[in-house]
Amino acid sequence: MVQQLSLYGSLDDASYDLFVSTMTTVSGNPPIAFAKLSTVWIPNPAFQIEGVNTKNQLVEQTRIKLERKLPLSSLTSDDDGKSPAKYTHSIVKSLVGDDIPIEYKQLKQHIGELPRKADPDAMDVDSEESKPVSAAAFDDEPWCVTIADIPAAGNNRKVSMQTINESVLMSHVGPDTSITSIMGGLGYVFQYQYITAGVKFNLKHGLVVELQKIWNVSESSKKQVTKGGFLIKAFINVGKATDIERMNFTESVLLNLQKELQGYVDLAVPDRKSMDSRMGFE
Amino acid sequence: MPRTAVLFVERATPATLTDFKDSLANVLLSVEDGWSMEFRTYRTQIKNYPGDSSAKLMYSLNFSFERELSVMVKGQTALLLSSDAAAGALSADPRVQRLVDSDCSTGFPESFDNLLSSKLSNMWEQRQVLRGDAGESFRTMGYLVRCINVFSSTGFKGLAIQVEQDAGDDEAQLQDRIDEVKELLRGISITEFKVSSDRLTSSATKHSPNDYLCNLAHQYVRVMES
Repeated sequence: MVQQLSLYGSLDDASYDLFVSTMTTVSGNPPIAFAKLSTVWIPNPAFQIEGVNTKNQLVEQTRIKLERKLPLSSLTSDDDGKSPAKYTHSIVKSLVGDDIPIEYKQLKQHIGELPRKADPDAMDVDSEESKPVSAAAFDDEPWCVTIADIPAAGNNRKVSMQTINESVLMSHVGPDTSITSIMGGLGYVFQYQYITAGVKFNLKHGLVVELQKIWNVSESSKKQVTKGGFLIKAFINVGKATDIERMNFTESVLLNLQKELQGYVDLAVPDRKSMDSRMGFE
Repeated sequence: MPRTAVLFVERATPATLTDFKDSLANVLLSVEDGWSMEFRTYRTQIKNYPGDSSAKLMYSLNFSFERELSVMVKGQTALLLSSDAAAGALSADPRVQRLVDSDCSTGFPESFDNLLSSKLSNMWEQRQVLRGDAGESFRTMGYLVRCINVFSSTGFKGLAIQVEQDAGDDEAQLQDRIDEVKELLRGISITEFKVSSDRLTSSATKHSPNDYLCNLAHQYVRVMES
């Protein structure tokens, strides 16, 4: 169980360069680009699930989020240069439209809902043909299984505070296992998925500032949710919620950042309902 | 990936372990570290969950010799889960670190048992916990034997013996080892036991080295579920 203290803001596309150079100066570290796939799962509606456990304690049904790293190379369709050095944060800047070179089918392969093509050439290391990076190449990447609470209530909260439970799924074995069959066995079904691409800065005291672009990828369409700008997320994770001193300190670090960026970027506490992962509160 | 097998003697007494140790002494090379394990059974609370009663069960296994890893077993599927805190840990798996770097993980993962008991207890109820403490490990020629007395909350359940091949992937060789252990058991007049050397991993797919734990957990489930 970890507490995530956070503040959110937004930035338009045109301000990207200035913000990145500002943060590079402030943090003393270069930006780190990243991309991830998030899949969201809900309790199978076909099941009769009680709202209480055998001890008669109230347990609300919540979504489960499974996330896995995507390679930066999957964000660009131009594959002339094979050097990983090419994949810098400038990729993130170039992604302004709805389109990203990641297909719905590919994502479904990640969770094993669609079978991978039985392609005999796939094993051939010399084959340069396989242009769209197939999901099979990332079978080694683990999944993070996350269940998050609704952020803490309170009118005069200066930062958002959310309890997160997570475990890391390193691998799964057995005949015909896939993420879909595993989640199905647990009583969950797929709801939706999205892709996040962004840059992050690691600052002092565990403070992380991220610029994110998010795409909804559905069967029929791809849509950038953050069109025209970026979502800014500034957060610190605290391992022990009981460490009050640490929590207070962490809050002050976030508030300092908020003050520092004031007038340029406004970091604020988001509506806690927008971060509610419980079922039946949509 | 080492091949493993698990034997379980239900008709044993806590002293059987000592007898087994004595008979093993002849082939013993060295005594290794102690160990412990936990075996939890979960049963689904979902009323219309499909399948027979065994389909409604799920098991979790934790071994002290792989402290940061735990295995969930459900039917013919095993999941390897890590609670290795990436933040600041030197031993951290680089793959866990990559999850943190790409904003998937906070860097404070916990065991899946925690998630089941805190967030999913309306769907999965923990039925029983079998514990083995103060287990012993013995190195013999080419393989490692771990044995442990397993207890439930009501009392002694039995003696579990785990055979782990040092290297190689030779099924016949492992069978020889199992036969040796069986012979030792017969030597102390134990004739009733359950054995499993089943594997969930297939040689056709690529597996990470730690996936042997999934096979091991599956074998424990096979011999200990009743």
